[in-house]
This record gives sequence, structure tokens and C-alpha cells, in this order.
Amino acid sequence: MGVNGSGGTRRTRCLVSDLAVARVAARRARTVPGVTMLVGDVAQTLLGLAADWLPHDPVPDELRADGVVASVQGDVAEVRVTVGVRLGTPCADLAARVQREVAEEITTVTGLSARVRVTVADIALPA
Amino acid sequence: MAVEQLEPLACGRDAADVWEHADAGALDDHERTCPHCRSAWADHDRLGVLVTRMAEESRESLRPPPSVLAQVMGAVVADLRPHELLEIGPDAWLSRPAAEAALRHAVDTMGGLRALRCRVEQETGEPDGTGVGPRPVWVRVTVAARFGVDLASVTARVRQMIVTVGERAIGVPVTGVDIHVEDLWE
Repeated sequence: MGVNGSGGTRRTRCLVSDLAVARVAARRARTVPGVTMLVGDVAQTLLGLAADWLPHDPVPDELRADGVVASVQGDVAEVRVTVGVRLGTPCADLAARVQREVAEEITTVTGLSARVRVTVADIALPA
Repeated sequence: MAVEQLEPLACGRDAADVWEHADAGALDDHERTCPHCRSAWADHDRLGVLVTRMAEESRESLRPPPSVLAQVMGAVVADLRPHELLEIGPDAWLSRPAAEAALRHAVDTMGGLRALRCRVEQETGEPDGTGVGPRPVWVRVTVAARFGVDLASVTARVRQMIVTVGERAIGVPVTGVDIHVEDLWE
């Protein structure tokens, strides 16, 4: 994405990666009340398992992006968030709230506008 | 078959050649002194150390933790295809199997009933009449009832439960419920 700025003859562009946007989105989505987890797809899960066996710089849990796929095109981020909820959580309301809060967070942090698609993949049932 | 053309190192050497020479202990003068080649065979050495260390770790320590299977199975279950999704709003979907499991669970909590199967079908076409809500669904549920339960009242109870859970917990209007009492138990 290109953010700003011209001062005199110099121009600066800030480019934000897909992964950075995904981390911002995942961190915010986890905080939405009713979201119990983010659900990674098969590829993310297998890569995550492989990463656990290889030396790497540890990523704080709050910045793990499993369950989020982001794609930045120009000044717009397309984001897919897959969540799990607890039985009794109104799924439609929760999805709308995740869309709203994640889009606002991405705009605040990166300056990008965001289109957020939400899938509720799992409803946790009482044992 | 297309052959991928790999970029050579900045000095013009092929990194694969440098790795081969490092393996054979036959690095030439250029490869020993050129910073680009040195970086390449340093990569080779790092990988060798990593592979050797992992190979030396005991079999016990390489056993996958018990959560691995659960994680993979969860991901497979969550890998949904379009026909397994219910639309619950603009750019928002719900796993059909998850919705069906929630409805089965709701029926299971009712006295004298066990849910055997549940199928949720979403109507095609435009969203609901208001133009803002999700398209309604039709639910087909198969149950087993305890012998002696009033089957006529079962219908009303199951219908009420399905409609309430569908609209409050899932967030889609339920236009119809088909209830099939498949079996009885004592």
C-alpha cells in the first residue's frame, strides 16, 4: 500500500505486507467477545506444526495469524477471518462485529481501507 | 517440461555448484574468498548443522505431541467448501456442519428425544424480504423418541427449539422444520 506523503521534493511510501495486515486482524479478532479461537486452514495448520519443529524467532501468541488470510492491493486490504464461537453466541451479530472492529483496526494501524469477510467455522458445544 | 532458470549469485557462480564443492571439500580459491560464495556455503553449513542435530535427537523427543492430530483434524473439518456455508450476512458465513451440530445438540437437551440427523438448507435467491437480513433456512431433523412420549407434542417442541436456536444463536430466520421420528426407545 502506499501511504503518504510529500514534503518538498521527497516522497515516502510505506508498504504494508499481507502478513502484517493478517497479524493486525488476528490480534483484534481474538478480542471480540464471543470469539473463542481463530481457526486456521489446513495449510496454515501444517505450516504452524512444521514451524514448531524448526528454529525460529518466537511469535507472541497474540500476533499469531492462524485463521486470517490477508491480501493487500493498492490501498485496500482484503481479509478473511475464520473464527470459532461458543454455543449461544448470536453468529450473525458476532460476524458483523468482527467485520467492523477488524476493519477499523486495520485502518487505524495501517491506513488501509479493509474489506473483511468472516466465516464462523465452529460452534463449541458444552461437554 | 519447463525448466526453472535460477538466478546465479552476484559473482556469477551457481549456488548449487558452490554447495556441491562444499560437500566434496573442493572449494576453489574464488569460492573460499568471494563474499557471495562464502555466504552460500555458510548456508550449506548451517543447514548441515540443523539436519545433524535433528537426526541426533532421540526418537522420543521427535514424537508428535498429542495435540497434533486434533489440530490437523480441526483444520480439515474447518476447511469448508462453498456448499457447506450458510450466508448469515454481507460477507459473513457460517459452517453448515457447525450449525447442524448446534441444532442437534439443542434437540438432544430436550427430555425424551435424541437427535439422529439434521440438515439445514438455505433458500436460494434474494435475501429476506427486508433486503438486509440473511436468506431463511429450512431445517430437516430426524429424531428418536422415548416410548410413551406424546409424538404430537414432540413436533411442536422440536419446532419451537429449532426456530429459537436458529434465529437467536445462529442468526438466520427459520421458515420451516421437517421432523422425522425415525425410532423409539424405552
